[in-house]
Amino acid sequence: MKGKKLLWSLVIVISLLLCGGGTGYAAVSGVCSNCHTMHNSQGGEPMRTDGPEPLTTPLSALLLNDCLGCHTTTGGDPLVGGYPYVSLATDATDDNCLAGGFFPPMSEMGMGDNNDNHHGMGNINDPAGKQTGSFYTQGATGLSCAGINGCHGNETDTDDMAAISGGHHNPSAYRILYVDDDPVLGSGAKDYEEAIIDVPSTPVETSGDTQNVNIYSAGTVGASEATISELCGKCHGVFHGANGTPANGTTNAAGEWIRHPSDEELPTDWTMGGVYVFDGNDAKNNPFGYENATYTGSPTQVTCLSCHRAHGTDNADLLRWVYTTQDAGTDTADYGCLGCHNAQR
Amino acid sequence: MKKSLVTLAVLLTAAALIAVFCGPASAKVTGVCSGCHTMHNSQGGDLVATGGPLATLLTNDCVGCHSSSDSSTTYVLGTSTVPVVNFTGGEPTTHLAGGNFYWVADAGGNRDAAGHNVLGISGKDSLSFAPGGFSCGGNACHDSLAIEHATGLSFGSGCQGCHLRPAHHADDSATVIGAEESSTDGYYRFLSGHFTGEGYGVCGIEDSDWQADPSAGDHNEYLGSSGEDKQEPRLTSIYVAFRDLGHTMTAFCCGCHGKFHQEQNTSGEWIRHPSDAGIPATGEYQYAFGSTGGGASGTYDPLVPVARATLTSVTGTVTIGGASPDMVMCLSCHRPHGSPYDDLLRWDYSDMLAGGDENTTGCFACHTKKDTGS
Repeated sequence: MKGKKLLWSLVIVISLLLCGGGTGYAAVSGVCSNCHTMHNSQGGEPMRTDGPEPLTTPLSALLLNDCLGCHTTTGGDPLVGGYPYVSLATDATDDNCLAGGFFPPMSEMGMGDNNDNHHGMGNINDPAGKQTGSFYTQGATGLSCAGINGCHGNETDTDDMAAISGGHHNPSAYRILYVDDDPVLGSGAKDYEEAIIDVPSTPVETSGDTQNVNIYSAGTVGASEATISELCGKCHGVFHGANGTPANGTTNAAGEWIRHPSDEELPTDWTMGGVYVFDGNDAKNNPFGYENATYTGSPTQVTCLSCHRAHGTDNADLLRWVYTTQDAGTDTADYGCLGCHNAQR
Repeated sequence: MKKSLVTLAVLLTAAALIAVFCGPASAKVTGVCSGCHTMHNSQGGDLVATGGPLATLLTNDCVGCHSSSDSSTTYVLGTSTVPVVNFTGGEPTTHLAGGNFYWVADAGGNRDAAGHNVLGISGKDSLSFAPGGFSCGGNACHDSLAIEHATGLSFGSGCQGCHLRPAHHADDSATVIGAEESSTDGYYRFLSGHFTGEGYGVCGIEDSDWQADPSAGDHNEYLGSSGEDKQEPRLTSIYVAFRDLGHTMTAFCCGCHGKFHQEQNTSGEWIRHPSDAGIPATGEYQYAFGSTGGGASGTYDPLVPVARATLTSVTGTVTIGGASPDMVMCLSCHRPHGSPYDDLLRWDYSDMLAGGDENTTGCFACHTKKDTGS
């Protein structure tokens, strides 16, 4: 993936077949030929249009393109016909992206160490907070979308497509995310939060066919399930653990916080603590997680995604807002750090 | 008297010649010799065979005999039934198992993607050689079936690029045809090999009416072989098909399209659609062909034929999983002569709509979960 050329896909209109509300996961639908080629041959020419490998080399799962190739658009709209793009040719900003954020063009992918505002595909540096024993080995090609060196799919396959096999047509996990073999629990917005991000005053719909906010899991989930923060912890485990040591956890031996909590309930005396009805602005800037990804009646919990977006943002450290603008005592901001930490406003 | 004896000898000799003429699948060609042969290509001072004299003293060539403007399936000639592969009476609504050349011919719009371009039926397409194939030079059949080739002249051009050694008078009365090397039964549909495939041919059971009226229990049967390694670069030479794959239809197709049989990368992941690969009783495939799953058999669908590891008789079921599952093969998706659809497919690929819950055949005969999602 390192040094990989950004792949521009054709605009592919594929409508999402929704699998119902609650924790149902969207299965890809549409004509097979939009994504697959049986022999990578048409009229004597390969069907593949781009990619670092020679075009005559077929891709696994008989695909026309790879992850970024398919989920990159030559336009400026992150959602076209229900089809999500994580990299735009133009106009990708914190106000024009999907819930996971956005990658820059391939030519601008960051290879630095903790210097970038996105996960750099191909970056071979150790992830910040990498825990001893982490599955992530980066290998020779660095960070990839999926598999042994990525976030999506299983943790064993080297090939991205093999790692996410079944994830598009028969999804069993939130956004094809797993921790070991445990699927991450979550309920996805049908529009990947495009509307809420664009216009935070949009009324929030937390379930059903018009669900427009993600509902993340936090704290307690099923025995064979994982929270979204546990997913992040696969690579950034030091930031998620709580084993009581400064070297590897969020609390010290005395139980005091030494790193920001995740998978923790907000104190009930905080404005956003306890059972809290969030609005679009909260969803965009301070989303919460919930026990078993159940919003109704559940107290708010902080997750990794309460502050960060997974793919990238306009801001350092993939934050949803600029950390250096969080100014205690301003008494105005209700997002960012001061969104939850209302006592510090 | 002497003249009569000479005439009789010539007639008997002509009758013993192997004709370029497809006959009934389960019976060699019968009928009066003059129905197909002319001794001198002369009658009443006129030529009998247009463009003749023709090889094996025939009155017509492959295309001439196997074309019809009246029937898109078969017609009767004397005591023989002739299969039609090139219908010239308009777009056919029915056709035989191999499809029909109509759509690649001029009358059907000359669509190169709809059929094999064959000499006498359509002009050469723009390709330098067969997709997934190679060129052996000299305008060979591997370059195109639509040209007179300049190599391997012992084989005819056009139709004989695939049907290398037609044997209309061969004894094909056995249920299973072409099972042996150097078979004298003509092989399945006269499909055999040369070069490294010399002495090999396709093994199958020929439906008696060429699937003019197919059903689950009335159809061709094809031999398959799933044991070989499909990983790149296993088949480094595209000349090895029959030798490595046995007397299978897939092996025959590989003679020209061999690159497409390199179907897995070095990690074992599928990079091209499988052929001669067993249908497993796992995942969505266990419900293929209407099976209830768990290794239960499915119902044979003539639109999506499968290959069998062994052939004994025509069966109406599909074995899914187990020690010897039935296999997807090239002809599971393609018709060798032509079809209404691009890439000689049995269905319109662009109509295969994942998640639409509209198709239960085509791709979704096997990929059952991609359609219904349940």
